[in-house]
Amino acid sequence: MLEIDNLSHVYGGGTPNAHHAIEGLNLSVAAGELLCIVGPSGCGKSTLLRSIAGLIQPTGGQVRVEGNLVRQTPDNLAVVFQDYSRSLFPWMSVADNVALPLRRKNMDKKQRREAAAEALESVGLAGAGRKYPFQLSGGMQQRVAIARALAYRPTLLLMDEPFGSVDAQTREDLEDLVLKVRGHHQMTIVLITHDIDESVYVGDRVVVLSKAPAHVVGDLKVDLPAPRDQISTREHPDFVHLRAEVGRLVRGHATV
Amino acid sequence: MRGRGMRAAVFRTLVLVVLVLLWEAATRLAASAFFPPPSTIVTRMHAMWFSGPAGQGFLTDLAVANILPSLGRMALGFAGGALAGVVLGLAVGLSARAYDYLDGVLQFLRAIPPPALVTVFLVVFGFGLRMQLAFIMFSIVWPVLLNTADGARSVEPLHLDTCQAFRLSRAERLLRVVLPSALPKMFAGLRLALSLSLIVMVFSELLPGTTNGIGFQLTDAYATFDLPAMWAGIVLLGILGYLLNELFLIAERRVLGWHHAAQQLVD
Repeated sequence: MLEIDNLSHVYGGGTPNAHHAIEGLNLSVAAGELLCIVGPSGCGKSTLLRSIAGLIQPTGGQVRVEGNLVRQTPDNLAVVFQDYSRSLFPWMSVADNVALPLRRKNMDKKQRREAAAEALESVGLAGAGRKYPFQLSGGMQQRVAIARALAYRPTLLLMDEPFGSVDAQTREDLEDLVLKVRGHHQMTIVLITHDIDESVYVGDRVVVLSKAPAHVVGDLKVDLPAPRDQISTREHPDFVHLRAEVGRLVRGHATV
Repeated sequence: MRGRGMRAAVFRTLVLVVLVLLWEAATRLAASAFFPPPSTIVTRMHAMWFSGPAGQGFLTDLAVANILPSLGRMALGFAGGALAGVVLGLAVGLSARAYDYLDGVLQFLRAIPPPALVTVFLVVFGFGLRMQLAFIMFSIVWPVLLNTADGARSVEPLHLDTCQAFRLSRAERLLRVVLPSALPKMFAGLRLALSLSLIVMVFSELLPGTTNGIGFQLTDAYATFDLPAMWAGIVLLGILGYLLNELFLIAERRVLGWHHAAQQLVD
C-alpha cells in the first residue's frame, strides 16, 4: 500500500542553517493497516506525512502509494491536519466543507449532499451540516475534518497529530471514533502522534522515529484484544508493557 | 444589549440635534450672507430637489437632472474601478513574483492624488462623460487592487495545503478558497473606494465641460452667488456619503457574517 524507501529531506539545503529533518527512513505499510508513527517533538513526523501526501518533494529517496511514485498528492488519499480551525474553511457551512472535495468525484449535487450528510452522521454530527465551523467546539470541528476525509472515501488516510489540540475527554472520544470508522471503511490509516499511550491504544502497529534527522528506531506490532476500550485496554498487561517499550524507544533517542 | 443600543441611538440623535441648533443660533446671530442658517439650507434643499410630484418620488426636475446623473456617474465609475481592482488584485496577489515586482509601482500610483492627474485625463479623453468615468475608475482602482492583492496573499497556508491534499482544481481553489479569504481586506478597500468615488465624482463635475450634476450645481451656485444653494449641495453630498457608507456596511455584514462571527469568538 505504502512504501517509503531511503527517504531524506533537508530544509534549506546548501546553507549554513540546513536542517536535516529526515534521513534514510524506510517503512512499508500493508493495506488495511492502522499504523501509528510516534516520535519526539520536532523530529520530522510532519515532514514525513507531508512527503507521503505529496505536499512537499523530499530531497532524497522515494515514496510509493499503491505502487505509484508520489510526485503530487495521490488519488484517494485524504489528510486530517492537527489544526482543524485552520484547515476547515470558515466561510462555508459544515456540510459544504465536507462536500467540497467531492466535486471532482463525478458526483452530482444531490449525491454530494447525501455523502456529506452520511459522513457527518458517522462521526456523530448528524444535523450539524448547516452550522458554521466557528459555531462548533474544537472537538466537533475535528470531527468535521474527519468527516470530510471519510466522505472522500480514501484508500489511504493520513492524520497529523489529529487530537493534539483537544482536551483529554474529547481526545479519547476521537480515538474511539477513528477505531469505529476504520471498521466501516476499507482503508489504510497512518496516524502521527507524539502521545505514546495513544499510539499503542489506536494502532495495529507502532513505528518509533528517532529525533531529527528522523529514521525508524522501533517497529512494534500491537496485539491487543479487539474491540479496544479506554479503560480495560489501558490496564491490559500487554498495553502497559508496550507503552513502556515505546516510551523507552522514544526517550532513548530523545535525549543525547 | 438592546437597551444599551437604544440609548446610544438616542444620544447620537441628541448630539446631532444640539449641534444643528447651535449652528442655527450662531449663524442667525452672525447674520453673515456666507453662512446661512441650517433652516434656510434645508428649506432651499426641499424647494430645489424634494418638492416634486409624488409620481416622481417627490424629486423635482432639477433633482432628476442633477442628482441622478451624479449618482449614475459614481455608480458606473465605482463598479468599473472596483471590478478592475478585484480582478487585477487577485492576479497580482496570486503570484508572489508579480506582487514583489509590482508592489512599489502600485504604491506609487496609489500615492498620486487623483486631482493632480486631471489635466492628463483631459488631454487623453477630452471634456465630458468618458473623461469623468475614466477619472473615477482610475482614482479608486488602487485601494481596491492593493487590498485585494494583500488579501489574496494572506490565505491561510493550511487552507492551501488542504486544497492540494484534496486535489481541488485551480478554479475551485480560486473561487472557493482564495476569493473568500481575500474578502475581508477586499471590502476594506472597497469601502475606501466608495468614499473616494464620491469625492472624485464631485471633483470631475467641477471641471468645465460639465452640464449637469451636483458638482455642476455647486459651481453654478457659486458663480451666481447663490450661497444657500451652494450649502444645499454641500449638505446633500454629506448625506449621500453617509447613506452610501451605511448601505455598504449592510452589504458587508451580509457577505462577511462568517468573518465577523469568527472574529468575535477569537476576541
